[in-house]
Amino acid sequence: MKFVYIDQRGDGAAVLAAAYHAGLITAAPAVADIVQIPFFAVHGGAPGSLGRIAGMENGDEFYALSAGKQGRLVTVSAADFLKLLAAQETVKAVDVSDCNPAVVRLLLRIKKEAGPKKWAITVAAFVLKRQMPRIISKVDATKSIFRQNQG
Amino acid sequence: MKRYIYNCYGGSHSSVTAAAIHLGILPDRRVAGSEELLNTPYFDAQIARDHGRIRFFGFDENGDEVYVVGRINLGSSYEKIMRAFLALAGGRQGETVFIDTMPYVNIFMMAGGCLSRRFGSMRWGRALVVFGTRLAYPSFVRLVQKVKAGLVCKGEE
Repeated sequence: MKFVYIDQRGDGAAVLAAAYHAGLITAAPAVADIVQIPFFAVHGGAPGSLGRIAGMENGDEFYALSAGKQGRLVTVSAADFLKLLAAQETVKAVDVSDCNPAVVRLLLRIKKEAGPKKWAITVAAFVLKRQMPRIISKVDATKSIFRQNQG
Repeated sequence: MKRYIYNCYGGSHSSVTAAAIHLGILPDRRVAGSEELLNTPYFDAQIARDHGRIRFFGFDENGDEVYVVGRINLGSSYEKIMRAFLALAGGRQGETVFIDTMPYVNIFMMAGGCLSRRFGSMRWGRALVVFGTRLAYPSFVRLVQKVKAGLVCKGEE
């Protein structure tokens, strides 16, 4: 199964959700751990940027995708499109855009516009760490739907 | 078998018109009349919560599938995003053609669509959008001809 977590730039909450689902980080990660996640704060922000966060031995793969402000629309469209491809059991899209607070979006934009600002990345990681409960609930909901489908 | 996905901002007017021409529901040798446009399935019928829904429109003469979708302001990013999903699903890129109909939309269609769909002013909105659609109709016919001739990008294999 391929899990695609979607947010505005594909380098914030989506990366954390994919990393948590893959087991790369715990439910209460350190800021340093978050900063180390592949693709965290690195995408250019253009919708459609896809980053592979992790792959598991059982074949599961975890991705982060940027969808601009249209995370919900992309999730709906992706679900319909995957049905057309008869791949709804192969790929699952989950929108976590609402787990990215405005301040994180601003910090990641500063990082993009003003070059690699370590302080902006660290503060963004700190703020996102506080969003972990919301991210975890979305990941858990995804896992439970997946288990139901498998059952 | 191919699938053609016509997409525009709201999925109500330009994509529906082009898809209907593709399927022969609307004529391709003359400009469709107002009644013909208003009687086209899904024409001026999309509501906000339908945005993103890929709706089946019909099979064309080759047995290929034709769909319409409203993708708001994603523009060409919509195709990029859907092709990312297509790649993840292991599908063949060449079997799906995304057609953006927004370049052929004129100011009358935009204003009419906004009046009708966003502000609920069906009478004036529809009159304006039908006027604009008839004005742009030859462009939609040419677009569909290009699509059928395989001149619209199908993505990289």
